[in-house]
Amino acid sequence: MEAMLAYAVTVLILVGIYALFALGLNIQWGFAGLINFGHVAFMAIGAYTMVILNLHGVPLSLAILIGLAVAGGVGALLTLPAIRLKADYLAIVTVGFSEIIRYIALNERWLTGGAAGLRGFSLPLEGIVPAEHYDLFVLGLIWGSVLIAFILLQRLVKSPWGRVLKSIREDEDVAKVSGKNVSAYKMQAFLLGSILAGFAGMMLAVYHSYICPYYYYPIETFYAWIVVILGGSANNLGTLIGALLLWVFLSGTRFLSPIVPLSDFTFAALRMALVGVLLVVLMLYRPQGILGNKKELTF
Amino acid sequence: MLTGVTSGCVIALGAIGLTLTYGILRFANLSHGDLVTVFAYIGLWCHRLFHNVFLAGVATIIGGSLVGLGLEKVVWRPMRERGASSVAMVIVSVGLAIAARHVLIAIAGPRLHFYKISPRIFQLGDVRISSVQILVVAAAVVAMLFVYYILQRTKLGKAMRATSDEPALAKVSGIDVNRVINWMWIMGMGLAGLAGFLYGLYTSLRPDMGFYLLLPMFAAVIVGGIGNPYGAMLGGLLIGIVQDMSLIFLPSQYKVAVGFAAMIIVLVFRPRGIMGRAI
Amino acid sequence: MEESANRFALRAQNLTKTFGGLRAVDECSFDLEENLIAGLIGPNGAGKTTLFNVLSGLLAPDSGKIFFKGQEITRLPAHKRAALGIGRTFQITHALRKMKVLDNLKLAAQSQLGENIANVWLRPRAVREQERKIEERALEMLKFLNLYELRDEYAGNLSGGQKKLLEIGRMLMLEPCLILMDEPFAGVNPVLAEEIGEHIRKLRERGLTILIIEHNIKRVLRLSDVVYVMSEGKIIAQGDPESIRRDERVIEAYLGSGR
Repeated sequence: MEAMLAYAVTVLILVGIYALFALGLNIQWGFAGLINFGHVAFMAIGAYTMVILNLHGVPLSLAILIGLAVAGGVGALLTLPAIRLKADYLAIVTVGFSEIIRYIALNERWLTGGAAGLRGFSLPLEGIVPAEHYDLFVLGLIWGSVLIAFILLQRLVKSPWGRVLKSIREDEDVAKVSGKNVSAYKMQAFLLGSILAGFAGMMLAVYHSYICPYYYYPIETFYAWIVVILGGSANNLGTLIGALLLWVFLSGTRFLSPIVPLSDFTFAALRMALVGVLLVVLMLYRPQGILGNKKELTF
Repeated sequence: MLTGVTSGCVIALGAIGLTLTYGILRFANLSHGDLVTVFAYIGLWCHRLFHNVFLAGVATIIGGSLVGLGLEKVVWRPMRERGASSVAMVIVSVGLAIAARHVLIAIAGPRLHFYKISPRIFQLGDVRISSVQILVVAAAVVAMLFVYYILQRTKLGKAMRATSDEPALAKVSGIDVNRVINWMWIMGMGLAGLAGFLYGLYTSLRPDMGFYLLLPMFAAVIVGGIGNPYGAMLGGLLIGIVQDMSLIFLPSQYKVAVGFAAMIIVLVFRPRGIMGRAI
Repeated sequence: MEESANRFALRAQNLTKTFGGLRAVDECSFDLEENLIAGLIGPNGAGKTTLFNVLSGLLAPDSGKIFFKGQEITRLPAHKRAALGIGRTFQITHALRKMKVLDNLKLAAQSQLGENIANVWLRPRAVREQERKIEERALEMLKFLNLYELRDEYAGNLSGGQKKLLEIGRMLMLEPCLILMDEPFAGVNPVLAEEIGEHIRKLRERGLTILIIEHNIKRVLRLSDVVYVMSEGKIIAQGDPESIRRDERVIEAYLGSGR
C-alpha cells in the first residue's frame, strides 16, 4: 500500500510538471496559433540556469527568478526573426533551436556537466521540510503552481488580450487593420509559454534533485503537443485532462509490460509509436480534442 | 571537402522530396527525416538479404515510393479532404515522425550503431577517394538528372511545375491534381529512399537520427528556394560542403548547427533563397 | 509645400510595388481631399487592391511616400495606421468566422486596457468596466447595421451581405477618419447595396473621407464626389464623375484591356 501511494505521488508529480509544460505550449499554440516544436528547450534553459547559478552560490529563489527571466527572454528573442516567418518556418526553426540546446547541454561539460549532469544544488525549503515528506511537498508545490497558472491563464483567455490572440490565429490581417500590434502579442504569448516551460523544467530538476540533458530531449515537446491537442487546443482545462490521460496511458501500460511478450525496451518504444499514431488519428478524426470547440477550430 | 560533396548529395536527394511537398502541398513535412532513417534501415536489411548493393538500392527506392503513396492514401489525402490547414499537416507530420521513429527503435533495438558491411576500396590519386563516395555521388547525379528529365521533358513534370506555381489555376486548366500529387510522393519518397540507402553506405545508423537528418535537408530547401527542386539540389550540396568545412573550426557535434545557422541567415536576409520559388 | 498637404486626407507620391517582375503599382501618385467620397476605378489587374494594401500598411512599397493628414506614414506598420484612424475593408470579407459577431466588433475598439496582460491580472475591475462600455458601443453599432439579432452568432454563419456589414461595423469601431473600402458592393443584393450606399453617405456627413474601389461604374459615378482612374499601376485620370465618364483616356484604358 505504501509503495502504491509513493508511486501515485510520483505519477501525480510528473502529471503536474507536464501540465505546467503543456499549459505553456497551450498559450503559444492554442491561444496564439504559434507552432513551437522546440518547447523543451525552454524547460532546459530555465532549469539549467537555475541549477548552474545556484551551484555558483546564487541563492535559490534568485536563481529561480533569473532562470524564469532567461527562459522567457530567450523565447521572446527567438520570436524576433521567427515572427516574420510563416508558421511552417517557425516549426523548423524551433526544432533546430531545440536540437542546438540539447547539443550544448550534452557537450559543454564545463557548463552543464555534459551527459553526467549536475547535482548538489539547493532545493526549495530544504532545511525546513523533513526529508521523508519532501516528495509530498514537491507535489503540493507543483500542483499549487498548476492551480495558480490555471487561474491566471483562464483570466487571460476570457480577456480582451485573449480575444486579440484569437483574432491573430484566425486572420492576422484583421488584427492588424483593427489596430493590434500582432508581433508584440505573439512575442508575449511566446514569452509566457517559455516562462511556464522554464518553471516546469525547474520542478523536474527539483523533483529528481538532479539535472541531466536526457530530461530535456525533443520527445518531451512532443508529449506537450499531444497533451494540448488531446485536451483541446486553447482549452486550459483540456490541457490538464490531457496531461492526466497521457500519464495514465504511459504508466498504465507499464503495468501491462510483464504480461506482454515483448522486452521492456521494445514495449516502451511501441508505446511511444502508439502515441505518435494517436496524434495522427486525433488530427484526422477529432482535431478539437476532448474539450475543444469544433466551431472555433482555426486549423 | 569530398565528404562534404558526398553528404551534400544525400542531403540534396532528401531535400528534393521535401521541397516538392512544400511547393505542391504547401506544408513542411517534418516526418521526412525520420522516413529517410527508416529507408536507411530498410536499405541495410535489403543488403543483408540480397548481398548486392544495386538490388538493395533499387528495393529501397521502390519501398520508399510505396510508403509515400501509402501515406498519401491513408493520411495526406484524408487530411486535405477535411480542409486541414498547412499547420495541421505539420502537426500530423510530427506524429508520423514519432510513430515511424519508435517503430524503428522497437524493431532495430536500442541506440546500437549498425555498421554497414560493405567493401571499401581506397583509390589514391592525391586524394583518397572511396568507392562508396563515388557510388553515392554517381547515384545522386543520375537521380538528379532523372528528376530534371521528368520535370522538364514530360507532361507529368509540366503538370507538377504548374501545380506548384499556381495550384488553383492548375486545377482549372484540367490538370488532375490528385494524380500529380500521387506522383510527387512516388518521386519524392523514392528519392528519400535512395538518400537513406546511400547514407547508410558510409555512416553508422541510429534509429533516432530523424531530426538530425531533417535539419540540413530543410536548410537546403530554404537556401535553395522553397519549392524549387533545382534549388534543393544546389542547396543540398552547399549545405553539405559548408557543414563539412565547419569541422575545421567547430567540434563535430555542432555540424548540424552550422547548416541551421545558414538557414537562419538566408531566412532573414533573402527569404526567397538562392534560386527563388519558381521551378 | 508640406503645410498645404495638411488639407489632404491622403497623399501618395510615386508609390511602387513589384511582385516577381510585375509592377502592380507603378509610380502611383494622387492627392485625396478630406470629407468626401472618392471612387477608385480601373480595369482588372490595374493594381487597385495592391494599392490599398500598400496604403493600409499590409504591404510595404518598394519606393515612394504616403502622407496621412500631412504626416508621413510610409514606414508606419499597419496597426499604427489603424490607430491613427485609417480603416480598411476587404474585397473578400475577412470576418472572423470562428468568433461571435459581437466579439468581432469588440475586437476593434482602441486603447483597450484589457489587451495588456498586467491590466488583466492586476486591474480586473477597470478592465471589466471598460469592457462594459465597449460592449455598449458595439451593440449600438450592431443596431445601426441591423445585425443586432445576430450578435451571438458565429460570424461564419452570416450571409455574404451580412459579413460585409459586419466588416464595415468592425472598421467603424476604430472611429476612423479615412476609410479604404475594397468593393463594398461586390456580391451584395441591390437592397443591401442601397443600404450600404446610405451608410457611406452618412459617414461623409460625419466628416469622414471614404475611398472606394468599385467595379460597377454606374454606382461609383452616382455615389462619388470625385473619381480616380487607375490603369497598369498608375492613376491616369481624376476628376468629377461626369468628366471622367467622358474622358477618352478612361475609355481607352477599359477597352484596351479587353473589358
